[in-house]
Amino acid sequence: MKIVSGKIGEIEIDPAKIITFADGVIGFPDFKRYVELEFLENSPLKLLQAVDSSDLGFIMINPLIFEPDYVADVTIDELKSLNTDKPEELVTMVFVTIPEDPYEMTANLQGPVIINLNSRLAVQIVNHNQKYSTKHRILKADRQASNAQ
Amino acid sequence: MLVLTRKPGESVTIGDDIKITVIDVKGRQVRIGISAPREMTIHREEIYAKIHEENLKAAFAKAVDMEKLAEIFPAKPSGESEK
Repeated sequence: MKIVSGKIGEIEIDPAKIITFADGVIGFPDFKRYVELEFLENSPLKLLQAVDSSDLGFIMINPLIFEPDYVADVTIDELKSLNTDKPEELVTMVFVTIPEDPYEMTANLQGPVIINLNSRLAVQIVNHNQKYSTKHRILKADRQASNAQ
Repeated sequence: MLVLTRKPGESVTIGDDIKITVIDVKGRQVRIGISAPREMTIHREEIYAKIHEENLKAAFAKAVDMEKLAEIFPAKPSGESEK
């Protein structure tokens, strides 16, 4: 099926790849169907595009890339809503907020998205672990060093 | 808003299956116990509100400069350099 993404234009998607958020994403309860898209080559940043609104999309990243010890506290009920009791079927992603200067991008570690790769069900949870913030800086502040890589 | 005065150990019930008990009061902090059906989600309001606010910001970052973004990765994420 064809969908339109505000970020990358019209694209063909496989309906079997649609990820369903039964309750929507926090703040967007009306949009439940999304697809994960590559929008930059070889980038850890992925686009979670709403199937039913070209204007709605989130950039997301696997938090383990920059926070190797990251843990999302998923409750038994949340596991149930994802139709699994096997944590190994799940992947955790976090939304990225990109300000005017993209080097200052931050990740929302307090509201991770948990996706069941088998059932394609997903939920955005509230991580009650107080050490995680909604604005975790992803790149190190010293951009000279980052550029040198 | 209904306002009730309760002492530690006392409760209020909401409907048939929600019970809120004041467990302890220490200065400006109140410990509250909540019994509710499992399917009800309970959050500290400010955490939920913060995630909501951040989602709104993340969702409408339409003016993202794709070229600049492509330059950044594979810039080294901060986690690696600290190890």
